[in-house]
Amino acid sequence: MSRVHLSSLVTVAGAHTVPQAALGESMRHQLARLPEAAGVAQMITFVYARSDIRARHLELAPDELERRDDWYALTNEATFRLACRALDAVLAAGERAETLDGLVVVSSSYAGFPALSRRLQDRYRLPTAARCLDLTGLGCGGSTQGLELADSLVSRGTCKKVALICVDVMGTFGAARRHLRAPTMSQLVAHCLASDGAAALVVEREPSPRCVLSYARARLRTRLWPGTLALNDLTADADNQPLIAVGKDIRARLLPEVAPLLEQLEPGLLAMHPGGKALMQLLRARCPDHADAAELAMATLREHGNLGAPSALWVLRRALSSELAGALDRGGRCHLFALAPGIVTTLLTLEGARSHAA
Amino acid sequence: MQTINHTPALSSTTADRFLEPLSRFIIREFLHGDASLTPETPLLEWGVIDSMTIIDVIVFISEQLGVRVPDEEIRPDNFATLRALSRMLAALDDAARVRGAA
Repeated sequence: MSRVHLSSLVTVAGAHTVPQAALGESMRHQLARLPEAAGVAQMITFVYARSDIRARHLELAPDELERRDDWYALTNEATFRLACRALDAVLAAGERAETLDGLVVVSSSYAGFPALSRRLQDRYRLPTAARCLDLTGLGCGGSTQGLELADSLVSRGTCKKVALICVDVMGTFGAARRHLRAPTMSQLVAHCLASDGAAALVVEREPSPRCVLSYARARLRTRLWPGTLALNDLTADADNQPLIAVGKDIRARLLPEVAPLLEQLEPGLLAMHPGGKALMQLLRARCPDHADAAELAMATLREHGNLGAPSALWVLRRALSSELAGALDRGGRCHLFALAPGIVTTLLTLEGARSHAA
Repeated sequence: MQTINHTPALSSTTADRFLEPLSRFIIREFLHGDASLTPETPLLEWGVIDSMTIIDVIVFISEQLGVRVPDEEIRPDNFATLRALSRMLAALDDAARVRGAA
């Protein structure tokens, strides 16, 4: 059985890095216009400090977000721009657009048609017959499910070489919003996490000098937590500018839903999507065998915020160049773990995995 | 802007007068009533209270303990333990009494 190769793994942050404290001030400034938001506004210092995030990324400059009032258009524009920079980075790594016969784009911040994948196909002159597929609404679980789709296109012989781009601008998505009513605490907490970023790689049968990881088989496990659809909500007001919310019951449900899976995980390298500090602390305390993996995820959260769809691939890239990569030699498995809206647990296991990272 | 002097020498009796009602509230609301807390239990570190539930604590303090916590005091270090929280409330309460007597 031939192996599948992951090549040219790149990560790209939103173009503007803004300290978390400055983003908190911006939020305070916005809510000052709403007298009914005084109660939530007084929590901003606590919530933003408690997030443990030093800075977040915005693809569009804060002063541009302040000036513009075309929320829908600017969110799509920022997502497209960041996706282009991710694909630029893949091509700069040595890939050639004309050899890509598949493109999978995962994004929760882009909405509209033509699909983002088709816009990228056109701009970069990918073959006109290339399979172009978009996955939306998967939130932070986008990379696990996107990689499984790219793998299946390659493993079944549908495509020879598929580019996977995970891109979200949830930081811009939130920062550009004009608040017409007071957010809830759940919305404030979700808002203080969101950041812009992208990750991309190429999935292919043929080994290449740019290969960072190869494996024999991909296996995705997902589970919808029963009765949790309302816990991770994306609700649009009358102004049609959605705001993300994370329900506080997620914390109570997290360990019963996730800990058994992580505790029985087959040995290997684990890259975890960092949802938020409180959730990661709970997992680290309950699953001490994965404390190093949790710490690596939390370090990514501290430095970049919650990047959405690409975040698990950001953590994987760091893990492959860290001491944690030694776990591949011991277990031969690479696990990508992320939570998705639903709430959904997603775990992609690459079996027979070998690191080729320098 | 109101500032609080968190005097380390604050007597334990004075500083601790909020310990019990706070402890009862937190155990009832966030620990399903079946746990115990010490004054030094790391409330944030252990996830007893977090960014989602902090507002419930503030409302309880305001409505049941009669202390208004100004925005600038709603910081993680003031909510790290029952002791830290109680000391902050005692300092705020004392300051309010002094202002009221003046």
